[in-house]
Amino acid sequence: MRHAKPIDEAKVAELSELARRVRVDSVRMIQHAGSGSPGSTLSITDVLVWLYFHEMHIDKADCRWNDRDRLVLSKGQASPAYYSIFAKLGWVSEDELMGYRGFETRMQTHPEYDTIPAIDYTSGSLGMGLSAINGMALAARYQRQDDLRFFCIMGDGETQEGQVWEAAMTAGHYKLSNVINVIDRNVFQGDRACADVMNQEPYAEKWQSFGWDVKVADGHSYADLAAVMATFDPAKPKLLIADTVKGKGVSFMEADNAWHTGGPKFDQAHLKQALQDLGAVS
Amino acid sequence: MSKQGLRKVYIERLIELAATDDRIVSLDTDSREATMADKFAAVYPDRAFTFGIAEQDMVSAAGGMATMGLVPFVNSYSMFIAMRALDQVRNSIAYPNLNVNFVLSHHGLDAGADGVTHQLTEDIAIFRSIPNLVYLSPADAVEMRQMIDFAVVYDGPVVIKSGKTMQQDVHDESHVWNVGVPSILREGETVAIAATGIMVAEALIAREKLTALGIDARIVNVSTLAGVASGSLLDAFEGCKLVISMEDHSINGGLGGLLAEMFSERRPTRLIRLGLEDTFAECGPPVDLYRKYEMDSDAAVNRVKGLLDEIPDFLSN
Repeated sequence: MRHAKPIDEAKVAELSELARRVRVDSVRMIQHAGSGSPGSTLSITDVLVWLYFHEMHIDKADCRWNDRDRLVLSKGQASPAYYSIFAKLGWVSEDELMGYRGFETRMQTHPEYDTIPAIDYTSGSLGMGLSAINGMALAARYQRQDDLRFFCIMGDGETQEGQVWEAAMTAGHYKLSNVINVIDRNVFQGDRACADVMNQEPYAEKWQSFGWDVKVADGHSYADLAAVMATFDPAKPKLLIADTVKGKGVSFMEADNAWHTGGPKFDQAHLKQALQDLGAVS
Repeated sequence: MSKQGLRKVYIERLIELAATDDRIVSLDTDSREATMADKFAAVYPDRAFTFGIAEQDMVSAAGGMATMGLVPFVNSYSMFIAMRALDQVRNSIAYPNLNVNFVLSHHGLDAGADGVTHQLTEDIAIFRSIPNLVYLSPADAVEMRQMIDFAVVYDGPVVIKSGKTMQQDVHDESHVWNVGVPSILREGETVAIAATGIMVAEALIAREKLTALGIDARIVNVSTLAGVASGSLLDAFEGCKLVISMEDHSINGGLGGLLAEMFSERRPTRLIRLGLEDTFAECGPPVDLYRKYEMDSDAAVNRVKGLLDEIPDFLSN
C-alpha cells in the first residue's frame, strides 16, 4: 500500500493558493446557480485540495489511470469544490463550472459517474459512498492491486445513515487497511448542530469498536493532515476526522448554519464580500 | 420435459462461466444456502463476498466492484433488494448504469411458507419503473441459462428472478432466448394467455381446461419485463380479442399493468388480469395460495366463463 506523503512549506503555500482559487470558484458557482451548499463545500475544500494535489496518486494526463487512488465524494453536495479541482487539474474546462445546477450541464448538483470521467462514483443519496469504496477495495484485493488506496469523504451529519455503519462493519471485518474514510466534522447539518439533531459522538470510540484506527486532524492545516496521515496503523481501515469550520474562508458564512444552503439571500452584495474575503477583489 | 430448480440451474451456469471469466464474483448477505451462492463460494472462495445481513451495503459495494472492472452477481431474496435496498439499486447501480447483476429468489406466493414478509408481489411494478435496468423472469431452465450468459455480457444492470419451487420445462433445449422477445408456446387465434415465470406452466394447464369451452388459447411467455422496447410484445398478440395475464404478482403494475398500458396506448384489447388483488396473502403451500387468491388455471377459466356469461358473443364478433 502507498505511504502517506510528507509535506513541506512550499507545498503548503501552493496548496493554500489552490484552495483559495477553488473557494472563489465555489462561491461564484453557488451564487450564480441561486442555490447550493456553500457551508459544507467550503469546510471540505482544504481536504480535497490536499488529497488531489498532494496525497493521492493520480495522473493529471489521464484521470482514468487504472492505478490511481480512488475517491468517492459521499457528501455529494460539496461538488462545487470537486468540480473546481477538476478544472484546475485540466479534467474539465473552467468555462463549464458556471453550469453548476443548470440545464444540460456536466456540473450536476451531485456527482454523476461517467458524466465526467474523473468521477469515481455517483453520490447524492447520503450514506452510500463508504460501501462503494469498500467494494472497490475488495475488488483491488482480489485483483492484487495492492498499492491502491480508497478515500471516502463523508459529512458528519451523514453518519446518521444506517448504511454508514454497515459499511464501517464491512471494512472492519475485512480489515480493509487501504480504505481511508474522512469525516468532515464541521459540527452542523441541514437543520442545525449535529449534536442537537441526532448526536453521533463520540465518533472515535464508535469507529474504533468497529475495528478502525481513528485519528483527528485540523481539516484546514495541510501540515497537520499530512502529519496525521503518516501515523495510521497500517493494518486497519483508517478514519480521519477532519475538524473543520463550516463556510471556512468567507467571513459571514463561517460557523453560521444559515449558510448550509445558499438560497435567494446569496445576493451580489454577499458575493462581493465573499470574494473580498477570498482575496479575489480588492 | 422435467422440473428443475432455477436457483441450481443459475449457480451451475455461473460456476461454468466463471471458469473462463475471472471478472465474475458473487456477493451475498448470509443467504448463501438459500440462494445456493454457497456452491460458487466452494469453488471460488476468493471471489465470494458476504456482507452479513446488510443488503444496502452489499448493493453499493457491488457497484464499487463494477467500477473496478468486475462483474458482480448479487444473490439475495427479492424482497430485501427490491424494497430495503431500492435506493441503492436506483442510485448506486441503475443511475450510473453499472454491470451489476442480481439473481433474486423468493418471489410472490411462490415463497409460500415463508409468509407475507418474504412474498414480494410488487417487484415488477418497482423494477420496470427504473431506467437502465433490465428485468428478466425465466419460465424455465433453458431461459435461465441464456439469461445468465446475457447478464455477463450486457453492459448495465440485469435483475433475474429465480423461484423457489421447481419449474416445469416449457421450452425444448434448442430454444433460443433473446432479450425483449416473448416466446409463443402454443398457437391460438382470438384468445391469448400472457404469463411470466412460474405462471407459464400454469398457463399451459389453463389452456387445456379452456378447450372445454371451445377455446384454443395462444400461450405467450413474457420473460423480459423491463428494460427494452416492447415492439415484439405487441406483435405476439396480433389478432387477439381477449388476453388473460397470469403472474405471481400484484395485479397492479406487473405484467397485467404492462399489457394494460401497451394495449390502451397502441391497440385496445380486452384484458383480464389475474394476480394478487390489492391484498396481502398469508403463509402456506403455493398451490393452495394460488387457488385461494384466484391466480391459478381454474381462476383463469372462471374469469373467461364470467366474461362469456356477461357477453355471450364476445369472441364470435
